[in-house]
Amino acid sequence: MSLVRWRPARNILSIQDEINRMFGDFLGDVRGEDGAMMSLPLDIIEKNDKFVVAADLPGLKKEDIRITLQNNLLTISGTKSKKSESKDDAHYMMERSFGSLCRTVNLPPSIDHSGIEAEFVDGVLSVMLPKKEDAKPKEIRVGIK
Amino acid sequence: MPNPALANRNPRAPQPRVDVFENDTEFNLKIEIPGALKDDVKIWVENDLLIVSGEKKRNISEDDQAIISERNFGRFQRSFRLPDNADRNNIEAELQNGVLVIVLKKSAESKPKDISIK
Repeated sequence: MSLVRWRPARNILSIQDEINRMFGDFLGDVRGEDGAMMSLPLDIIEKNDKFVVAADLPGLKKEDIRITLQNNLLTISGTKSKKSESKDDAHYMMERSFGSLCRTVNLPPSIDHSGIEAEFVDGVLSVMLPKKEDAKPKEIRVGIK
Repeated sequence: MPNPALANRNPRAPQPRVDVFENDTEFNLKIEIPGALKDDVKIWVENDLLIVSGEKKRNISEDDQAIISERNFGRFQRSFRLPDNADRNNIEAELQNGVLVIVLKKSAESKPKDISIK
């Protein structure tokens, strides 16, 4: 019998891989065209009558953001520019990142494409995706004879 | 005694990203806190530190189901050591599209002066 060295970190990594694979299968590839995955963190929340996609886009303006829907893929893209600072400024900390951002999410088939709306408030983009009438949860009362 | 402002902080949540730069007349701090409301952010000066603290609240009800959850919520705090030439009485802050912009004016005597040759 051979001994295998126990490496707890390996198990944790494989769990993370499993989770990624699970969500990847469910939602399609969430990676943007340029592979910039976490640069545009987002939440997808399912409500009774709609899905809401919320994305953190601090420092962008409404005009900098583009939302497109092709087939069943919702793409959020934008450019975060650094134009307000002049070259003469001396920097002490530079943690923020700038440039282009892109994320694509695969929508569930039950979305009513004609009713999609978006708003941009305090650096957060919210895309509201209403469910089709037949996909909303319904309560059917059954009478007892 | 632990700092009460940090009590509810999610230790795993990355703290907001910051750019700090200066020009001839002022220091600029830009802190990314998308989704934070004006009333949930506090800025104060304590000794030589400028402290920014606040909370990003998650707006989700019990019936909602999170399918993807990548955004950070919870308490945050960052502090910055004020340079000697920053005017502590002349600090302005504004929230612009999820970025907190803090402008600290430099005190008058520290601004670069041109000296003419006699």
